[in-house]
Amino acid sequence: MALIELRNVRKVFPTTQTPALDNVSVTVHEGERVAVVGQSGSGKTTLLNIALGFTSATSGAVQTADPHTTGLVFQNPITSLDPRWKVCDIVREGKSGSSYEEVREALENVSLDPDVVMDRYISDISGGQAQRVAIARALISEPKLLVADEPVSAVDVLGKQYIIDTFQHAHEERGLAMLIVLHDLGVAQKLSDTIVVMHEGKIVEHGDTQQVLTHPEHSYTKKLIEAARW
Amino acid sequence: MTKNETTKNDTVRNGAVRNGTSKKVMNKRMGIILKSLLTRWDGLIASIFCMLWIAVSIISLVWTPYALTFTDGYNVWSAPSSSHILGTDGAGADVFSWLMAGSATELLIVCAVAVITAVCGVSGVAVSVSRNSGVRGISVVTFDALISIPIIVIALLCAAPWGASIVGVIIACSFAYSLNLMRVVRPSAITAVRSPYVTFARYKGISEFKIFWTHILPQIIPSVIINVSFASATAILAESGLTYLGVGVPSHIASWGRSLSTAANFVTIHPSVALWPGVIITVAVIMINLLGDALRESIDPLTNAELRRS
Amino acid sequence: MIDIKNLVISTPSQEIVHGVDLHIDKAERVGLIGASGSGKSLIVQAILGILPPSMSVQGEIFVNSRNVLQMSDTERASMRGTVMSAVFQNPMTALNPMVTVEKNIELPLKMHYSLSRDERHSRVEEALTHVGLEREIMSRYPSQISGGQAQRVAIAEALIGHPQVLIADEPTTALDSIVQQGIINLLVQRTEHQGAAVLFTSHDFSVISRVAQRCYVINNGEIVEEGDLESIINSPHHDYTVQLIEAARDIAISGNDTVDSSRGE
Repeated sequence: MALIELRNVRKVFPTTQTPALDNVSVTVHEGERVAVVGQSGSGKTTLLNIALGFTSATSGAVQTADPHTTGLVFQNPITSLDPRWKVCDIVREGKSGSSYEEVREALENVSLDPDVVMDRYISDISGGQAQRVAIARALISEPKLLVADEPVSAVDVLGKQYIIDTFQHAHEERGLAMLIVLHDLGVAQKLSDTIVVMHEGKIVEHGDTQQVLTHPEHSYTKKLIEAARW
Repeated sequence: MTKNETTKNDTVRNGAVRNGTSKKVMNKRMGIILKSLLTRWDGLIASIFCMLWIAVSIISLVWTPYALTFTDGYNVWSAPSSSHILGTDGAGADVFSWLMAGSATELLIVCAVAVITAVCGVSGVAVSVSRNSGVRGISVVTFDALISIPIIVIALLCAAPWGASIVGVIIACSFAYSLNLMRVVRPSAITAVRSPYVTFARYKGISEFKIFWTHILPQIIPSVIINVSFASATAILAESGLTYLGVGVPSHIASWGRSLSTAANFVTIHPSVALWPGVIITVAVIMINLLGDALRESIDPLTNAELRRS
Repeated sequence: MIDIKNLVISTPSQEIVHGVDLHIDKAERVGLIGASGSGKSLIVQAILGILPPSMSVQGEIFVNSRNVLQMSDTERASMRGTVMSAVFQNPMTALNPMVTVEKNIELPLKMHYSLSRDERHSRVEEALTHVGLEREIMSRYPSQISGGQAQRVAIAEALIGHPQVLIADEPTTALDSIVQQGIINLLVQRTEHQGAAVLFTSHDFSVISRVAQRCYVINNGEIVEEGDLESIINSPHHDYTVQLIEAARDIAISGNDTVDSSRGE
């Protein structure tokens, strides 16, 4: 059963001539982790907005994610969490009528100590911790699907590790499906089963993660791999 | 130090429920805000002044040194003396008594304008950032049409059928300042509405009202407080102008504007008589703005460290 | 070139940088690596003399044997752009959005040198070619170019005055991975060409290893390790260094473990 499906989607914005998305097809099945990888301007954000129903496609078939069973994580934790709310209230918003205990559990599931962070404001905690709060907020409603827009870009290398672990843990524990937009193939390798490589609005490569990374076909994919090496 | 898993001097809370909206927590927060207000120099001075203002207004309803209808033809334009603290005006009436009675009128105007401006202005802002594009469109068009109407015209419209009245002044001022508040506060509301946390809340299906009340309002409150205090202070000045033109406070009711405008006609001959209403109006305007400033800093957890810790 | 002795930086309530010593030779590329909040940006700001006024500084920072901390603002201003210049994390905030790219880049020339308009124009053209941008970008505004292009513009502006040292504070952190590579290579190439020293801060060892010859590791405001890049990566001493190296390795694509040691030159 598909949680998200885009078929032959084309998106043209009124202000530009070149399409932001050109003949894009992506499916996310239950329990599947899909990474959409590309640089700025590749159309990955537009794809995400269409998949969530924030924008409509110019043509093509779209089955958007169901808001009741989907959790969202944005790129920058500092702007995606209300600076005047305490961590406890922020996480609680993820599920209406959630109890104090559920919030504690959600925070523990992202390796944060509830006693330390519950009462804090996000400017008192690090960027990496704030992003984990955002993940807790997304997961407290026990969704089937997690949609994340560049979840590790705004975080330093140690924080990235924590967040990658958190995502992996969530997938292992609950069989959570994921649609993650990234610009780094190294992170994509850790967080996905299927990779979709985008360049200038088109999908240039699409397939099993390990396969694409060990035997890339398109030159752009090879460039991305090179950039993610150390 | 890196903001890592633990911070120094951290105390583990013992699991007490920290629900943001429970009554006990609200009362505690009110207490902290009040305390912050009174420990600041501007909050303290302004609060004392306002207490005095309220006290004087209440007293004036039952007693003034001289009745307002008192006149003394032999003692016009006199300087302050032991019998008339601030002297007498052109009719021989006691300046101090008129100012005292006027304080009640001004207090009523200031409070009414503050409340109405706050309620109407904020509601207008809420409507103008609604998720529904139809609602937004109508509000923008209406707003643009209404803001072009000057205060004087509204006051005239109120005065025409029923004559000059305090209510007319209040309506005219509230109307103009609500629109002004909307104009000034709307940009920060728009920024707040575009934030990812509002996107998240809307995606989760949380009602527009709740989103406005819990996410956007706390963000715009500092701006609203500044605007409301500005509006209510300016209302005093507007009242003077309207009264002078005859469409403000009626002639049998005391107001500072009345005292000022009657004295203003003779300011070149007897300057000191215009001084007192001028002084009290200036002081009141300053105090209202100081109060607004102090309140704005006390109410926001981003500027009030103690509120943040609670 | 730059000599920092016992640098202490504090806010009114606490000490953040605790007695840091740091040294950069002429034409040397030095990395300063630590997680966010470790104090790297504060050190950069102290060197440039742009710390927020609420912070207090103690210690000595010698740039070309002159103590920057004891200079007046005007003296420091005359050094920026000529002796030392900087590139920051977010190019969009470093460039003036109200003027064209050309006017942004020529700013150091206008401030410190007296050149005719034509001379400035040709220098800007030259600078743009050096950073791999088209001439026609000169008349565009910062809001009309991409993040990667903007960072190249910032680098062009920083290097146009031929500074002796370039301070780059996490210049690639906000950029896409492919663009990051380009910017790193550009920085190394241009500074080598001009014989400028570089102080490069980052939280990522995979980035630092492409730039620095020597490296300092900072944790919680203290230098915990320093040395040649190769020796640090191959045999780190401090736990924190190990943590950082492992994290960078972890996140990079697995399948090729060897560090290409020729990249640091």
